[in-house]
Amino acid sequence: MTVPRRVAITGLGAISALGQDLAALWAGVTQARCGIRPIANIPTDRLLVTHAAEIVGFDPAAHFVERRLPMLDRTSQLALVAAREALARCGLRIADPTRASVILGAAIGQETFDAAYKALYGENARRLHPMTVPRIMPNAPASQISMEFGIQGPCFSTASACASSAHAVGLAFQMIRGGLIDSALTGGSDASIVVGFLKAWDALRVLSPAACRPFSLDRTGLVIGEAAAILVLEAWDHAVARNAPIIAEVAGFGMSADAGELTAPDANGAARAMRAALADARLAPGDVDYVNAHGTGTRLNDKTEVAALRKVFGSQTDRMPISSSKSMVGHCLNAGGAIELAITALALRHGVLPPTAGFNHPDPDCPIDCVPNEARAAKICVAMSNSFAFGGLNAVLLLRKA
Amino acid sequence: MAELAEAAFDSDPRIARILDIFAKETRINREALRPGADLSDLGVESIDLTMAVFEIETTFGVDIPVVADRAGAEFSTVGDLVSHVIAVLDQADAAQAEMKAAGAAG
Repeated sequence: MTVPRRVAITGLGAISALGQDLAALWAGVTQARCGIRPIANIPTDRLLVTHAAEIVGFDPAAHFVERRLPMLDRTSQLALVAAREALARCGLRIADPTRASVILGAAIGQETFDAAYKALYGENARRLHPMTVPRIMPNAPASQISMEFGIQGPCFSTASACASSAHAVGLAFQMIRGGLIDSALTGGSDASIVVGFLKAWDALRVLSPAACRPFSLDRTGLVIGEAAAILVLEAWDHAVARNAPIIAEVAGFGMSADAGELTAPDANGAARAMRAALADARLAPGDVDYVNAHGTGTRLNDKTEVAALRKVFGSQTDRMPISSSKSMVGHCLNAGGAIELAITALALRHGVLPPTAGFNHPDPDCPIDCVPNEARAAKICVAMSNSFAFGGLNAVLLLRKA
Repeated sequence: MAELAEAAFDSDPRIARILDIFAKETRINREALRPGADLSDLGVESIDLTMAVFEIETTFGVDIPVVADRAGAEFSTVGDLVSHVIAVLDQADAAQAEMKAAGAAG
């Protein structure tokens, strides 16, 4: 049996409501800036909820040649922009493209989907654009990255709703650790701020009218965000050999399914995923210094997540910092796990705890230190990032300071 | 599929427009687009061919039906494509003329 290899995060790229690169994301997080604002990119007259964490001022023509744009939904555009940044930052030159991977959270091309059916049903269009299918397909962002960088190893997308990109990173981690590949571009992209999909979210009765205040007594629900976050994962020795800057180490990955309710989280399922990640990393609960929570800002999620944390961490839950980045970047759905993991990696790298923005009042159901409203310097060595999806699918990643 | 005369390639203005669009979408030298030219020899990518057909539909305001028994690999030469499009255009013209005649008679 081969010896498991260590896995390094050597590159990060991100585009989000906090700005169009990783530096803007981290600056926003450390300033506890909230990216949620009135929706500007689509008409909102038919929506109940008119706020989101939108990427404002993104100009596709500044990133892609005219001939390529018809092939790219916004979801793929964002993924490519983040992937280019991640690769440029880490300077990885892929020596053997068959041992490199692209594994992303699956995300359909919502903008294309919405526009196509509006044209067909709403405007009686006679035909649709021939690139409609390749733009919509949920593997499009992964395929586009594979094609742009000539990556020829295992490339695919994982689907687990809001845990999709956490599952993707976890699989990339396992495949590098197990020796199947040497490097991976992994993470996710999501551009779901379109009328049809937001209308569907309206009907679920979980959207907040304006702010996202995880763990705060006056929280009113979640806010949809759009983003892409791409991480470059490399076999540790591979990264060291080329003197790559190592941002953090991926230490463990745990998964579970609630097999319970469709949309209600389950503390036991979440706790099992956290325990699985700890066991995978051969770490004890006491080794964990910070948790980047799933923290959606719904009454039920936050209460259940704190209960799950208590099952795993016991009284340590009272003093361990546990914050939610969704208060700043919104709920980025298929990209959520990836952007939150990127923030967690930067927290370890810089020794700064990401805050929970918009926090007003402590909730007796959530008696935790959620790093309210201000980032805080702290020596942290091990951090956990939680993702719990509709459908009861849970993914938990553990990072260690490099 | 009807064989296209070489001469028609240089005289029929509709063919000239079709070839202009085809050359633009596939980025292939317009001069190389002769009836017998093989699409794979020319290096035409399938996605560019699809876009070219879409643009031809848009320009002429017609639906170009899929050649059903060859879906996915409909055309092997430039002539195949052009004669299929011309047949569709002729059919559309005939239908229009018929409607006009019916209108005049009524």
